[in-house]
Amino acid sequence: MAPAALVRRNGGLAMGRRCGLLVAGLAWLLCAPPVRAQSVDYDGFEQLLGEPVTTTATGKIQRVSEVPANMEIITADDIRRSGADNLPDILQFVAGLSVRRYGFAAADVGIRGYNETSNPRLLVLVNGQQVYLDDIGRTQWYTLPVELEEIRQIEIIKGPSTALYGFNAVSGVINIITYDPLRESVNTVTARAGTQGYTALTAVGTARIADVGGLRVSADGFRAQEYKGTGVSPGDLAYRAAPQRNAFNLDARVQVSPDVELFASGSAVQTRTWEATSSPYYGTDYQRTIWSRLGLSADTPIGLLGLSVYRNELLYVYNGASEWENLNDTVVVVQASDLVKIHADHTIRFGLDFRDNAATSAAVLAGKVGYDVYSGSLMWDWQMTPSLSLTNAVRYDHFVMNQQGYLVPEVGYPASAYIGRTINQPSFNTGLVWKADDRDTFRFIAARGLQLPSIYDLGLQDRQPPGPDGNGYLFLGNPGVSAASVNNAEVDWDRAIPAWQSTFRAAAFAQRTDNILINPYETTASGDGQILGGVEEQRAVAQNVGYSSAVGTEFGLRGHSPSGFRWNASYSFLSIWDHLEVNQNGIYSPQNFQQGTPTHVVVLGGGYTYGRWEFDAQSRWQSWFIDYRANPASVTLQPIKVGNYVLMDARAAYRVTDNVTAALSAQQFNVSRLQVSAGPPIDRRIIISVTAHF
Amino acid sequence: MNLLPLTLAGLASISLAVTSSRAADPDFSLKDGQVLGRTLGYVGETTSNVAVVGIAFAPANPASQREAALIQSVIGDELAAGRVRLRVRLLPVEQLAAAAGINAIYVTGGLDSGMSAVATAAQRLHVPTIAANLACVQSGGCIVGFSSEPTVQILVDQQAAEKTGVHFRQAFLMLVREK
Repeated sequence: MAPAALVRRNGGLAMGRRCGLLVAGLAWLLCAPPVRAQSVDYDGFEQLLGEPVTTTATGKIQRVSEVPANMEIITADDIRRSGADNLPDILQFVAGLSVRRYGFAAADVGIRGYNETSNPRLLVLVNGQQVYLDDIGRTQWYTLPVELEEIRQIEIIKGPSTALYGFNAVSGVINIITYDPLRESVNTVTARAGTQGYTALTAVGTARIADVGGLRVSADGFRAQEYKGTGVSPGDLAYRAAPQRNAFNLDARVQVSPDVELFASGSAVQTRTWEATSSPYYGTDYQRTIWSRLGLSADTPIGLLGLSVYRNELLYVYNGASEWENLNDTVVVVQASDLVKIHADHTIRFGLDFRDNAATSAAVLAGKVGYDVYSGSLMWDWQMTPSLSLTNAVRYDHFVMNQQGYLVPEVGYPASAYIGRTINQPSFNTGLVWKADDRDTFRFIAARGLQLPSIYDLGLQDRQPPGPDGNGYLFLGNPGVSAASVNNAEVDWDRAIPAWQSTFRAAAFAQRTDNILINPYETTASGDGQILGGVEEQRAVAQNVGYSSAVGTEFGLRGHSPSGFRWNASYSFLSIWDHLEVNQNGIYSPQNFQQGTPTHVVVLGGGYTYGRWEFDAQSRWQSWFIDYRANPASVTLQPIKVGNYVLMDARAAYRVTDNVTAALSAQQFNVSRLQVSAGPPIDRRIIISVTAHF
Repeated sequence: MNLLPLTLAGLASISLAVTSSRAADPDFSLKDGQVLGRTLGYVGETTSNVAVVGIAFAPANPASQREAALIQSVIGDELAAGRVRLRVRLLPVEQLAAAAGINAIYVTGGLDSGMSAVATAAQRLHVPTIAANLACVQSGGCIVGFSSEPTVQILVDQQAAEKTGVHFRQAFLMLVREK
């Protein structure tokens, strides 16, 4: 049956019926009657409604104040005023987010705890395209295909959002939205220089073709020296290389008719970073990523159709004391969706996704390990009354694994355990939003999210000959390991305080993660009976190690005044109880969330604009937590207590002309060296920047 | 007759200058003008960036006249609202039957019996009727109603829009309330 909107809105219903329904996707467009309108006009809608709009929460275009999720928006102004040159330094001042910095260009970001090196629980996207890397399950923040200057807004969802995005959106989602080259021009060059021998250059340019096409091109590069490396073992220091990045990005959008928009984007990013891996051994990662995407969006009689195909290619080389390894991981994703308002009060979104992931490595996979995922999702948004809305989203993922190549004899699993292994799991998001009055909004949220085992979790075969400790090791994936699931329940309260020109937000949540995944490098090795070089080989296997529960609250206040002042303050509390089979009897794993998460975090910030001047400062205090440092000589983990600390950033900027701004920013200006993780202490950074807008 | 718009604009200017309380009744702010212009950017398939709004008013009703004049004074010759360049033209209800070249009809208060002429003209021109209040939609007098304070609220009568032959961008409809 045709959707009601088709009947109501389209004079060409008969034609629509001939052509079929949503399933026809792109083919439908070829035979459909004229369609109308197209994708999200972020700028236009924000200017119209006086607040940002988003599609990240449900797939439906919504005002941020109405989404059925705990969402924070970081605007382009926030980014500029932060003075930061990287995303983790910006995110660390958001309530509920934590950042562990392990090096100059190495940081891991977590939402509501459970942070670790190569954090696999946070799904990061750029314009909806996954930039999370599936090999180990991680986000390489310095390898993202985007420049700060081209970001329109960063959308942060706290809590699982798997029903829209699929696997790995368990602790949250960060969707980075760039400016739309069809509607917004960004032309800027920024030069930065600072301590640690830091130099960087970023350029962004936009070309408009009449009113029907837009192309944005951006490029950047930086060079720097690494922090001093205090506390890192001499064996690891020997493999230290200076960080650097080179990137080139394209984003093109064409309005082929008043109603259909095509988009294409591509990026090539090359980085070299010295960092703690998930093990967490230090080594230098060389990463070359190529991101490409092609798609269309169209306003049709059967709704807003979206079709997208993207391909992410990662070439990864790790060089550290423990080993040298390389890997190529290619992900191809096809997504189709239809968003239709079938009635004044009802909006539905259908989604179909296909994902093919293939990783090859002679060093650590002995061939190829991959999988396909077939997914279907449905979102239903019901405006029950003018002040009450209910959103439900469900998704079902069907995962099929494959493997080609040699199997280490001692692997212990037959080929049949890899080939055709399936994971079939549902997930959901539900949210009730009640606008009690003009000032108060309450959200009641529940969700189930899923974390997929990484390529390493599933198919690693990494045999290391006897090393400095005299033992040989066999690190193995486990094709039988289960997806971890996260169940979350939450209540939020937003209150506008006009007298203070501020918004107050309070959130309370409870969460439980089952089947917590632990990768082979994080587990404790034990003898497997295989004698190599005269000693018994030690084997470590990926596994599910139990469950963990968390409760937390967040309180935040944010505002600004017409006189130029702005302020933000937040307090976050989080308590975690692990019920894991690891971290017992003196045997450690980085998966110690109970002690590995700061219980208390306070963020205070403010700023003032005075004529051509801008002054801003942010500070973060957090309580102690336990992190782990690996010793490659003894192949052991050492717990490190990271004491409570205060970190302060500041920026002063002066608009020299209408087009040129000079800025001085100081990262961690309150202390010259600071221990923020089990990695080396982080040094104070001073950055001078000059930005020219054209 | 050509002097009427100038006269009304003059009246509005005087009323604005003399008393701020008069400006509040009727009320139409610059922000309202922005919402009006930007909303029209999501209506129909306009290829031009210029949107001309006919302000329907009842010459016999002073309140309606004042409102029309106020809107004209706020918009001026042209108001840039995003990509839309908003222009207004005063339309006494008696002239609606012959109106042409407009993209929307703004419905001032107190039209009373003139509302049927508004609806007829909107249907003939396939343009939305719009007012800076939500009640106009609730009462069936307008296709689009909006308020800009304390937050922007937009209400759309989609059934009336379809009858009138007015189409909104679906992305826009996702963001507004429908009657």
